[in-house]
Amino acid sequence: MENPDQIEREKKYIPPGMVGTYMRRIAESDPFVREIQDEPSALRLYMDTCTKCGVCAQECPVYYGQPDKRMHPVERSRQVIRLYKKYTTFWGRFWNAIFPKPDFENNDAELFSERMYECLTCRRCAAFCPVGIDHSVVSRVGRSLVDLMGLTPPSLAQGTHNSFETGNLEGASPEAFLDTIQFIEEELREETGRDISIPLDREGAEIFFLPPSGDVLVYAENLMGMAKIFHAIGANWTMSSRAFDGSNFGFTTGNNFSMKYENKHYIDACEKLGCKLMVMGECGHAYRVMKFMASEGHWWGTLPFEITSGFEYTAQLIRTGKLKLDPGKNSDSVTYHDACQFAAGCGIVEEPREILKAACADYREMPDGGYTQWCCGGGGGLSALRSVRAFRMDVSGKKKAEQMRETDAKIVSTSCLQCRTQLKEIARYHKMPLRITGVHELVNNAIILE
Amino acid sequence: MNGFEFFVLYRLPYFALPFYLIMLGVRIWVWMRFYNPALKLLPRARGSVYGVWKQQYRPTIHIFPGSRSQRTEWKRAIKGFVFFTGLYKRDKVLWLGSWSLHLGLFLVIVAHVRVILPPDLEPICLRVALIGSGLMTVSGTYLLLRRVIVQRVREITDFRDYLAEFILLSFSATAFLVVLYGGVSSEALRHYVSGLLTGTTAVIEVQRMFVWHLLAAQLLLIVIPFSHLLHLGGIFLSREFLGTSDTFAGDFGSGFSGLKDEQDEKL
Repeated sequence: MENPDQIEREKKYIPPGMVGTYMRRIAESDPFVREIQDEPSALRLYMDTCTKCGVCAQECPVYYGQPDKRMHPVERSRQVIRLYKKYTTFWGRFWNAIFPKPDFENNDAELFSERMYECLTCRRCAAFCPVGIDHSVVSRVGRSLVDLMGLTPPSLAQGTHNSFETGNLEGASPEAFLDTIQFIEEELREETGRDISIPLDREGAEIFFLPPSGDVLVYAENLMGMAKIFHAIGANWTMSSRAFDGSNFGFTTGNNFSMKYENKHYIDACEKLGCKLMVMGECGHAYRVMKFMASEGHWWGTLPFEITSGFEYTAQLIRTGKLKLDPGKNSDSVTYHDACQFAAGCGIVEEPREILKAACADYREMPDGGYTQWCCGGGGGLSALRSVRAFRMDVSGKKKAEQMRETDAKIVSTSCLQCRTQLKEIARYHKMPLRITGVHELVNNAIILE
Repeated sequence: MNGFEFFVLYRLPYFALPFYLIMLGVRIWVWMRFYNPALKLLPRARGSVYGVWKQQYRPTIHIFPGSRSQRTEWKRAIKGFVFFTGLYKRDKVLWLGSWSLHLGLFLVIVAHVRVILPPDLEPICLRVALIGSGLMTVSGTYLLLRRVIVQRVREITDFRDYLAEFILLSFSATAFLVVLYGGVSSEALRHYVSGLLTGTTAVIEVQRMFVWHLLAAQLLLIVIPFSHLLHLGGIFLSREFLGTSDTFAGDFGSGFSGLKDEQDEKL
């Protein structure tokens, strides 16, 4: 018998016909973001071609942590695909007309929402699936439905709203940003005895630097590292007081509209300042959306500037001998955790390693590193959710905890605010005496300023 | 000849084969309507008159696997397609099972060409059919057992999956038994097929096992378009097929390399 509370809950959130309308819209491509053509094809091909061989589950960090049916990638994707079939295919409509079933299992939309946020969207499944099925794409479609129903976890919804409205996750004002920059400049002066400035809104600068979310307000060492690099090579660079926090929560929550318009803040800022190169900091989501979707998909026309990541930029400087680093300054053993969006999403695997090998005396490889890395367990926005902490520590982060122990390194360096938060919590939870850093934080220690 | 044999031999083929071809065509048509990264491998598609394929060249949005690489090579693509190299790297036992199943299927299909070959080659074709169907039966049994025994596979398997695999296994096992117990002569097969094509009931003397084999084959044709057995479309999504597995960073690097060179110059 159906639970009256659950029925009430569904009625509260879902207007009649909304799910069907949405799934049909997905099938015909989202009118807001027509360029995102892959979702319908992904759904269609994935539901037609899955051989149910179970290889994805073998490789999924979540299933590794809790090997039961609920955590199976195929089972999770089935929740979305059955809706797609039900509303957009001939046989789906036919069977639904004869044997109507509720949209969600147990008529519980919140359970559906929870399940969509049990996928880390790390794409490890796609790397190993014999037919290349990427369950992260299906989960993202599920999340966009969740978003439409107003069931996105509040902290993510707030972040998306802030990014969309203000251009930064925290919703911080330009004044607060200016204060922080002044503080960081003072820190740099005290530390180096040099006048290393962080230029703001400098029109005509060659390089526009977009730090990742959190680098300005939380992990300033990364920003200090980049500032020292630009200072060391005498670059003509700038940051924007309006767009200083690269991220993309719309990508995470499946909100295509927000994903597209969050990205516009950064493009506008770079265009307004007339920069020729946008160097993006250590945020995989922001970089992936900017480089591989907005730029290549011509969301906002052909961009009048090049886009590169901080990793590629710094690695190139090291390769060409323009940047000198003293590995002795980072004498502790260091390992690198590949952030999913950089490694599996953008193929940036070698560059961070090149930087760390140049900046650290004892670099150790994490097992299964590279684009087939194991997610930290906080991917897909989960590390921002306090409500699923137990899940992140005991289930999704289980494999990463084992790997961190295995490397026996004292420092785990990574390249994403979400990974950093998650790895810190894992280290604390599993009582591992580890320091979690960003990559440019170690460059900040090792850089030689002549 | 009883009614069952008459139905399987002379009536069901008129439904099973057209049904299979139509449903397969529908599937392929549906797949082609959407963006498919593998279509970039088709050299004539860009700017060609093939309207459907032309649509595929919308700007690539890198949201699911699919190489953006300009360096994607046919050699790698064929290697991935023919040898399942992606699966080999991940799970060698599963690779052996699935690759030998497909190899067996290929050999069984090839052996049927004997209908149009000279009679001298018939013994060779029968041996090929025996080896192919034997391979299929052994590997199909392994895959079915794996589905039953391994938890992560069992929990996502439903009745339709078991049914499809059971029909596939019946098809290969009956093929093996047909060949093992003498087979059907090419002449009789030719007579039978020409009878079907001309709409006349060309009565042939066949062993009972051949009727079961034909039934399994026709059921397979009916089931394939609706089951996980039709995963052909998926190969176009595979990173291995698209040459993005080993050289993933390299492929992406190809996109960056130009930028890197430019940066070098700037620096």
